[in-house]
Amino acid sequence: MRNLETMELKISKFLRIGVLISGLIILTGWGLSFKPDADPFAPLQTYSSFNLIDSLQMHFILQNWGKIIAYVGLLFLISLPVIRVFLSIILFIKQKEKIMALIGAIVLVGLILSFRLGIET
Amino acid sequence: MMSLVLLPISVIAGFIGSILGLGGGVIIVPVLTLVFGVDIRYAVAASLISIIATSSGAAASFLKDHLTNLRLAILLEIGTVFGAMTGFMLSTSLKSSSLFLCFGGFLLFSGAMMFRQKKDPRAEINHPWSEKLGLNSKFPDKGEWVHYKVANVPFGLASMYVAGIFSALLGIGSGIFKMMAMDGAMKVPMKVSSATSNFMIGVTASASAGAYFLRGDIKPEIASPVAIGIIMGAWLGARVMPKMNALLIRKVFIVVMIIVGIQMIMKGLNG
Repeated sequence: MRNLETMELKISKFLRIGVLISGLIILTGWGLSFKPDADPFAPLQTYSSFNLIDSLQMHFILQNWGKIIAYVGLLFLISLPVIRVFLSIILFIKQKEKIMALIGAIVLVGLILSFRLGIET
Repeated sequence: MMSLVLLPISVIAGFIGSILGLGGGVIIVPVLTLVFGVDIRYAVAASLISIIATSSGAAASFLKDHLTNLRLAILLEIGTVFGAMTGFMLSTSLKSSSLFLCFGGFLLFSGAMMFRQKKDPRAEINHPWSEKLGLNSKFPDKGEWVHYKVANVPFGLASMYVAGIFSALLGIGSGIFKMMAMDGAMKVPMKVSSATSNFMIGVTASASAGAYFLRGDIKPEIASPVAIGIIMGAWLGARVMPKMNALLIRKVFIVVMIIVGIQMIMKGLNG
């Protein structure tokens, strides 16, 4: 069990570095797309359904590279816990803990299904 | 210019969050909606980003202190992840006013819970699932290792499902619900339940954040300053935490939370 904790600690340290890297990517994107005179919150006062693919296509056409970089950073940040669960499953498999690996796999499947909901709704 | 104002507010949210053990959502959502007038659905989505950043950043510290129960965390994440899926689906059918009412109610409930006298009872016997999965463990306390057992696992799992729903619906870590289930029903020591909850909230938030992201609800205009501010604030909070009077900050924060809770309910009632 201690070995498992040591390996998980390594994963968590990797996550902390991941948070910093994603923060730097988001900062770069935000800096590139920053307009001092604009009120970015005005269009966000009423909700409108405009999915990610459409948003990315629009920013690509308008060459808003800052926004695209910020999206990449945000995606990386959201993916970090998913990577953690995936690495935990591998750890459990290596430790021959079949039931715990199965539980981890159920969590991973749940995460993937949840992400899919965003595309379907 | 407005997003520059959001940056220091997010730093403060990250700072207070790391000192009080909160994900930051209880600060970010009211600020974005009440101060900046952002639609609550965009605010909830941006707030989930801040929870992932604080949880992923703090996980290593709690693991190093041997306080996190990894096996318990992985098991309970089943409940929170599937709860988050339900919460995300519910969010599509709920009106903004209902979300404001839910959020206000949650703030008042959290304030009341933070006031309560905390007990730290221990389980006498392991639940059969705990026995089978080896969920019982030990943690360091006052220089010695304290062994503990885990009771009522199915109830804990069901509670985590509810915590997941609230997390996705309101953009919060639901740490309060998770800790209530773990130290209240499952009789896990409070230090362990706090660390394990913190470890889990990132995965819970990721489940719904991924869905909100793909639906296009996470907007870089607000999510970027929030994420950067929270990372900076949490980093700062972790460094000054030993020198701070956390009890005083907690008392002030409870009062603020109750006032903001009432404001959110008023906004919900006014449609």
